[in-house]
Amino acid sequence: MRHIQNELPEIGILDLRRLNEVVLKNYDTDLGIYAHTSLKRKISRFIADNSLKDVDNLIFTLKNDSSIFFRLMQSISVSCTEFFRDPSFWRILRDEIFPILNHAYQELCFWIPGCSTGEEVLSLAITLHEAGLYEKSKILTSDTNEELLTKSKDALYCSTKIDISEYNYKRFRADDINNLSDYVIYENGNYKFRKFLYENLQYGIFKGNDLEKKSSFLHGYPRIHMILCRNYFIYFTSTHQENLLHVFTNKLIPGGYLAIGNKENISFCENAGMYLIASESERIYRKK
Amino acid sequence: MEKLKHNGYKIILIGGSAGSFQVTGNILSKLPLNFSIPIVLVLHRLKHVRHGFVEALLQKSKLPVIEPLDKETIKQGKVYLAPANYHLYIEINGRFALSTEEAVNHSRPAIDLTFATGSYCYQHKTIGIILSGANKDGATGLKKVKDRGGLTIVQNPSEAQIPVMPLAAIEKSQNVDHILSSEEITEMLLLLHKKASGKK
Repeated sequence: MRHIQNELPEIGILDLRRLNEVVLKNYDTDLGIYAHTSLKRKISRFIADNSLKDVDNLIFTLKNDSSIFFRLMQSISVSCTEFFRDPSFWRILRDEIFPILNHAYQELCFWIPGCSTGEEVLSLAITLHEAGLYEKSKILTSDTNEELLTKSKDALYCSTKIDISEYNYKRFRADDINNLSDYVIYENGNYKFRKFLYENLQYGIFKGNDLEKKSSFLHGYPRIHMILCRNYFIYFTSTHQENLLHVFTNKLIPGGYLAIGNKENISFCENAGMYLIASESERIYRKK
Repeated sequence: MEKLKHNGYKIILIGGSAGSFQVTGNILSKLPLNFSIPIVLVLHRLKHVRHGFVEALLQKSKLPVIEPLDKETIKQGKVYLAPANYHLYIEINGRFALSTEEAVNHSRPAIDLTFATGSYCYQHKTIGIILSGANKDGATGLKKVKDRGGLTIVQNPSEAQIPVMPLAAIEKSQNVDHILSSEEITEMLLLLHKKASGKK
């Protein structure tokens, strides 16, 4: 059981800078793209959870043991979300967006850039399945490294997490007939989602820096109809958000949709003018 | 002057949980439209209810009350309410940052995190206020404000509808600057406003 702490070791800006230099040099990964405060917090948490003394101790370990790097990136990339977070978002997807896409295209391609622990991916797969569109859809899911993707591929969920999400799902469905747990099987003390939900998923690496060059998996999918990156931009600096939105805008077809978190904002970005608002309340945009 | 320590406060952080809503509304109703210091409210709320809270506070407040967006710049004359189901951080560049990291003290938003990051940015120019509530969130955050030389205020536990949060904050910081009734808190904020605007 992870200990929830609210008193963590303080990390200064200089500590962060030294850490970033080492990570960039040894692992070709730029921590400078991440929003400052949450990055600091996640690193402090990582230091505490791994019984390291301080940042110097972490830097020393990183120089000598690559396995700790993957664990560090995992703790930086994981956000703590739910299945069907914001049920109203999924209703609008089902009732307003899907019919338009279904009518217009023979095949559909969705992309979830930071799939983390997979809640958003599986929620999308279920919503597509229930709309009868899963067969004609492909869901691209990406994260920053192979280790993280593997975790998402065999996504296992503890029962408490399903309990919270069941409530969301019921609000999404607004009926008493279906349960989220209908999609779940119990195996060796763990809950796992049914296999068919994984069948149209496509996994790939989407790194933080040099985005397009290094994301070769995207090359195979030139026509993306919708990008779901809710609560993804919050973890990056505004400069990096600009870069990300640039990539997203290039990958989306004209008329394609972009969903961001309900408290996220793209109005300050250079590419904001490329989008119309499709749903104000759920922050869904449509590329012109 | 001693009461306030100085006139240069840049941010007011207010944390509360059960029993704090009415107090917050009463305080806001007394503040003038041109209030000189930005106010950040972190009130525990139902995570699945996104709407209604701002509207309810707007009924009372003369100042505009908004839920900030990620990367929004903090401005004077506004009251910011931490949105449901996100942590609210204050960044060095004077902007907000949101996060969906795990709950702290069973809470998201967690008062501790906003107070810790706010006082990190504004140091002794921070004011932290803890109101009524049924858990101990905010105690660690208020101590951070205290340690960084900011002004710490706690609602008088005997007045608070639920005294757990004020008592925890008082115990953790040992010597908070002021233990006040909600009316006295309002008076102090008005005094701050007077001093801060008079200085210009």
